[in-house]
Amino acid sequence: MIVCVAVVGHQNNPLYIQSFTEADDALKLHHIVHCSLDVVDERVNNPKKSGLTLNETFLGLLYPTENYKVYGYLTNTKVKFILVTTDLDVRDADVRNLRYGIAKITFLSMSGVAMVVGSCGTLEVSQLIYLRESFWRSYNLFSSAHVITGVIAHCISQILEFFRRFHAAYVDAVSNPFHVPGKRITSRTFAERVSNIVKSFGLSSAG
Amino acid sequence: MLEQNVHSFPSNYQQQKLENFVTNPNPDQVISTAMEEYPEELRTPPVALVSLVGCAEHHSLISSFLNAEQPPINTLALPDFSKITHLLSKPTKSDPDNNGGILKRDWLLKHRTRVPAVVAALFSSDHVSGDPAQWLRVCTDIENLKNVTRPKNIKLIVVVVHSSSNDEISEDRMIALRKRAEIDAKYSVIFNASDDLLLKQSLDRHVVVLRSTFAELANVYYKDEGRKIKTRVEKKSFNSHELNVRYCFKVAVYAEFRRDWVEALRFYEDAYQILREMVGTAKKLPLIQRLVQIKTVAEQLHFKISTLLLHGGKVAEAITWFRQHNVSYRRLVGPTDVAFLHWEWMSRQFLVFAELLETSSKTIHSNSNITSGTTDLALTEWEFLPAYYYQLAAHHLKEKRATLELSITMSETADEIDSNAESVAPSIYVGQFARLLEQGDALTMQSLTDEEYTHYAIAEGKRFQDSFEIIAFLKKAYESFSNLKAQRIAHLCGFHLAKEYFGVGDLSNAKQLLDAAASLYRQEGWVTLLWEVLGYLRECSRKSGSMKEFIEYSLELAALPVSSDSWIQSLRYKECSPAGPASLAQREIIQKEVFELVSGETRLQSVEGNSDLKVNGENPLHLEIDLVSPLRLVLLASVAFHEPIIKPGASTSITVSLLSQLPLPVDIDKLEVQFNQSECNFVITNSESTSAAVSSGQHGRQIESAPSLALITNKWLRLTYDVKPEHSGKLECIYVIAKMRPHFTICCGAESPASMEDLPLRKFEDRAETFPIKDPALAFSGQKAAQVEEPEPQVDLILGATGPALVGECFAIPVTVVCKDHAIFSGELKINLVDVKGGGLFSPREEEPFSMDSHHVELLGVSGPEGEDESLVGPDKIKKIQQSFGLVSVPVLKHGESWSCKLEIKWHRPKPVMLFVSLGYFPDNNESTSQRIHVHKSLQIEGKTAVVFSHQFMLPFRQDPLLLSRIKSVPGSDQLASLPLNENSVLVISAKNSSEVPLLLQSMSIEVDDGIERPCTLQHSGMDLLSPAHLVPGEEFKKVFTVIPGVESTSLDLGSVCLRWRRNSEKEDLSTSNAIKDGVLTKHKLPNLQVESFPLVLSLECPPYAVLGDPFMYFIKIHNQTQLLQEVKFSLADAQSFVLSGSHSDTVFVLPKSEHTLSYKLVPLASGSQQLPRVTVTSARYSATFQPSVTASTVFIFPSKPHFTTTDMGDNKLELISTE
Repeated sequence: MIVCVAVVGHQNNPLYIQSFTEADDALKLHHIVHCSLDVVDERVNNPKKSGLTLNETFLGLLYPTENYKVYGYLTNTKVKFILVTTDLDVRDADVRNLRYGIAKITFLSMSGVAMVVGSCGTLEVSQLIYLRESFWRSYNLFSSAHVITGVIAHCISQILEFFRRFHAAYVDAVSNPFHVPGKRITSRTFAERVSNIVKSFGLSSAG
Repeated sequence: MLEQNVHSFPSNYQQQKLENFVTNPNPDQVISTAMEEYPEELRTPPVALVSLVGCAEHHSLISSFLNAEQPPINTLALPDFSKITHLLSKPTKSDPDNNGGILKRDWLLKHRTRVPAVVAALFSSDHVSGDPAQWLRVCTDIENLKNVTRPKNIKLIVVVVHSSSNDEISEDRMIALRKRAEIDAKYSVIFNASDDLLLKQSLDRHVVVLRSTFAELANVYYKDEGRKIKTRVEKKSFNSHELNVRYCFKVAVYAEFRRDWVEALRFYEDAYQILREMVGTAKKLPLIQRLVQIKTVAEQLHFKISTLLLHGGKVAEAITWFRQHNVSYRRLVGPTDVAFLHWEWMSRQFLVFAELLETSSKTIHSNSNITSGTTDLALTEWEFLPAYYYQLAAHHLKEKRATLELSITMSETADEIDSNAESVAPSIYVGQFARLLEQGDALTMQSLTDEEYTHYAIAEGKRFQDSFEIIAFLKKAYESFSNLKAQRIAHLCGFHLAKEYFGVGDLSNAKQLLDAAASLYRQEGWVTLLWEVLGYLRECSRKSGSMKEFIEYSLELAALPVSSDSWIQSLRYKECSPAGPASLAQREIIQKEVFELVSGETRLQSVEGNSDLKVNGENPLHLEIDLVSPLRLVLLASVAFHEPIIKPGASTSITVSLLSQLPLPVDIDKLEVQFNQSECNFVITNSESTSAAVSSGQHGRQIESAPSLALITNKWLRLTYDVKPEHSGKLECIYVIAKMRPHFTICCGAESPASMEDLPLRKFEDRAETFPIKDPALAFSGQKAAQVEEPEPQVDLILGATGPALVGECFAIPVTVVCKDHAIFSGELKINLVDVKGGGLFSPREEEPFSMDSHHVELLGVSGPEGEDESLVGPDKIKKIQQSFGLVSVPVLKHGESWSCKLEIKWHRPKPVMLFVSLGYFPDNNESTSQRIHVHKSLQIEGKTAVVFSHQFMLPFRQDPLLLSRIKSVPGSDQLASLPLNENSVLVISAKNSSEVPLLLQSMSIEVDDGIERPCTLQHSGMDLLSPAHLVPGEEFKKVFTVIPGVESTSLDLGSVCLRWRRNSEKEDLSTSNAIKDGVLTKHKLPNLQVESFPLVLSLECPPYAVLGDPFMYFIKIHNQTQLLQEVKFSLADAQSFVLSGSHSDTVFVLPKSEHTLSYKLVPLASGSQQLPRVTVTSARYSATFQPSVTASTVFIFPSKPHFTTTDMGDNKLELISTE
């Protein structure tokens, strides 16, 4: 679930920041967004070290915090989009796929892993990664590792899709002739559009 | 790949001991690391344990050797055989009640210290080979040992110790011994310990054999044990998860004993997974304790796994594992009253992992390529940093503290049970607690209910002070992040750290960190974060009793762009900043509070010193706002002059604009505008509040009044007034001081609208820009400073110059100062000579040597007005003359008076020069009040050359010496004129007036430069000038000299022509100085001459004129000057105008020092100037041909005989008068 989205200008000033939580941790989210700029700087300044290709806009997972994950996106005008999510839950359909994949290989002694998958209705992505790692590593269960890879790729593509739509909304907002570049975005239309994008996050992928 | 890595496990893993296992990076820190709380057997890898029995004297040698080897083996040395039975036959205490224990607390320790893998029985060879009684004793010992070790599967070694080299044991005895012990031959070892006789090597060899045997058997033991349990795991011959976990754990530990890291890791992981499942299934314990137990066991398993992974160099995997661990357990908070246990546990997980990462990153530099999360949810940069985990550990510890406080308040009602908690102690299972009950001598464990346990945990929790740990963790994180230049996260850590400092009352540290964070947030415009930080800063200053800071922070808070319509208001605060929620309403509250405080209505209650602070007459408050102050939001003063240049004494408009972002209107009592010229300062008072106007009754100050001095949020208050500067120069507005309350002033640095910086935070806000001044041109270009012009000078400065100056003369330029309306006091005349081209007055480019050391144009002096005596010039008169600069003081002049002087300037080179003359004076006598006025004049003056010289050398008429150098002209030497030696030559010098004025020549002479005697004779042909010769422009003056060179020379210095001249001005005014009367001496250097002797001279002789038809004689004389016979060919060309007799061509020989004469008789046939027949003479010796010049061989033919009369003119001048 998305808890916070932010647009940060090239002087690292906030242009737009909106949190979507019921809990009272908006300030904490502001801190998280602000700190993530350090990682953005690091990635942009050392593109080689971070494996970032030159014109790649999606910066990937910036860092995980206690309960959140922070993703970054950098436009070519050096405006940063920051997305803070709670741990991504894998949707039921994907879990079913996963179970199916695992069912084929249940005879193998991997009771522990299978039980984890079985016991949780939804899985967190990080758990999935771990599962996949252990599949690769200890059990050489390539087929189910592939299933999990697919699930993860699906999550990432959702985030990418979100950023793309968010970017489009941002471009429309700053194309307003009354908007002064570098100033905060106060457009209500933009806010509404963003909240729609946030609401539909995850839903669109199901349909 | 994995297996390979594991096998290349760093060997130091085994070595690591307690003390160096965890090295604290900061030795100053006194906090103990979290890992030290783990028992040592958990922290360090298992070490095989062997036991030595018997022959105690050798134990220390063997055990120290075993311990030092790689991998080490610990030894359990028992002096005699009875002890081992004691140790091992201890009956295993069966659980009183197995209430879901997973791991036994002392199981690891048992295998480290009590249960050996191998027992080595040491017998001395005497006993083995001794008498039957001794043999029997050996046999019983072995028997006993077997009985003890066999059931436990402990391996047995028999060592026979030879005390001397000649101890021999029969083979039979050895076999018998082996049979008794039921061991292979290789497990009965002979150990030769005969001390000094044997060499050390031999001893070592024995020990090595012993060691390898120990290692082998220990390995076998642990393998067997492990296999035994492994089969149980595989068969699943148990019915509880607890046993499953325990067995997996044991298998892993046994694998670790064997240094089989792969298997160890696998079974630890298995145990971990099974444990995770138990969370929902195990039912044996009450809920809380069950969770506690599972977490404690999980912690230990996790620690093992992480350590193994990290020491295997698999940093990335360890981090992934930790992430997984975190995800699996962070939601298992448990019931709320013991939630703090969960957070404490979480904090410890992060802390331990941070420490593990820190220690391992020292040994293994994480060269693991950090892949970004673009393609995958891979690890991020920060997850490799211990600081990241320290920070989260601190975060969780804070969570723990908060929940603990909650739990304490909840449980306060049930305090009476606390007494029971004292007897609670850890039970034999890891993560379990039980109550110790004393029943007589025996202690029994009684399991606890959850309620009891909760009380116990809370009571324990109260004992710890978490703040210092949180501070320590955050400090580590802060420093580490700062070093990595990750300033934002560092400042976040700093902010949390400051909050802790604030909590424990360390205000100075807190303030320092908060200020750093605030400046970052200000710079990047993170208003909400800034709000929070400022809230804390405000509280800090409140606590420390700093009124000024408190007001400053409060004002900044109130002026922050937190507005009602923005997103910020939607913020709700979990932990609210001390400044309250960021909202417009809160800003208004803060502003009200501040203004109540500054008006003295309320007091600031400070904690330190317990004194109330109040703003009053004794403690006035004065704030300063400069260009970089964050308080510019509170008050911004923009000052613009309407005109950039002001006339003195004239008034000009100045607009003072004030802007405040405070949410409520601010009333200013009095506004003081200060300039660098203090007499321009003025005060603006509020016309509504009359009291202010009365109080500011300072004399001499301009006091203005404004209808209203209220500042409304984000609206410029524009005030335009006139100022009247009196002094010339820069007039700059420096401060605008706003007096808001009787004892509260804000001094605001004035800013120019043109160069005004954006407001620090407002610049990111999306709102319409406003200008400080309505006039848009002024808003963009207005300046806070203006230039005040000087008053108009009422004095004329006249430079009179009469035309171009001539080089060499002393050119006088009259300067006249005429007072019109001003009198002149302390007048100073400054004179400057500047090259017109901008360069200096002498340039090294021009390569005349004399020009290098002197100026081309020089100011010689200033002569005062006529009749002024030098003695009259008082001591205060300044007169300073340099080559291109002069300073002359001008006497006091009254209205209408005038004064003049002459500048004497001498040109050494023709050059145009700019003459600048400036007069500075005071119009009245009082220098302090009046201003110096300057008048500037400039004049360009050309310097011109007066006379141009030229010269010409001539030989005697009709006499041509054969000058060899002329014939065989060598390149380079032809520049010099050649003169024949000891012959009269004629030098004609002409001086041409190249100026535009008539000149008067006084004398001309040739002078040798340095007074050296000239090796030639110079004679004037005529007399010297008796009266000066007038020379109009363009006219030439010639003078003839005779030169007789006396010495043969290639370069004869003739000296210089000296010409004395002066201007020939019609009005010979008497004012011209002596120097001018003397005239100017111009020198012209004559070029050097070449003087040479000559072998032949050809001279022509004929009458000066001839008459048509009259025959005359024409002689051509060839004179041989040499000592040699000269062969000379000559030929005579016919001439049309003459009939001639004589030989046309021939070869003649001229004897040395003699003369040969060719004589011809000519009859002229035509009148007029006629060309004589030309002769060509060729000298065979010098192979030189020469011919007399055409002019030399020309003669005038009169048609008839002329008649002349000669008159003596008295001046030796011959005048030719034609009679016809």
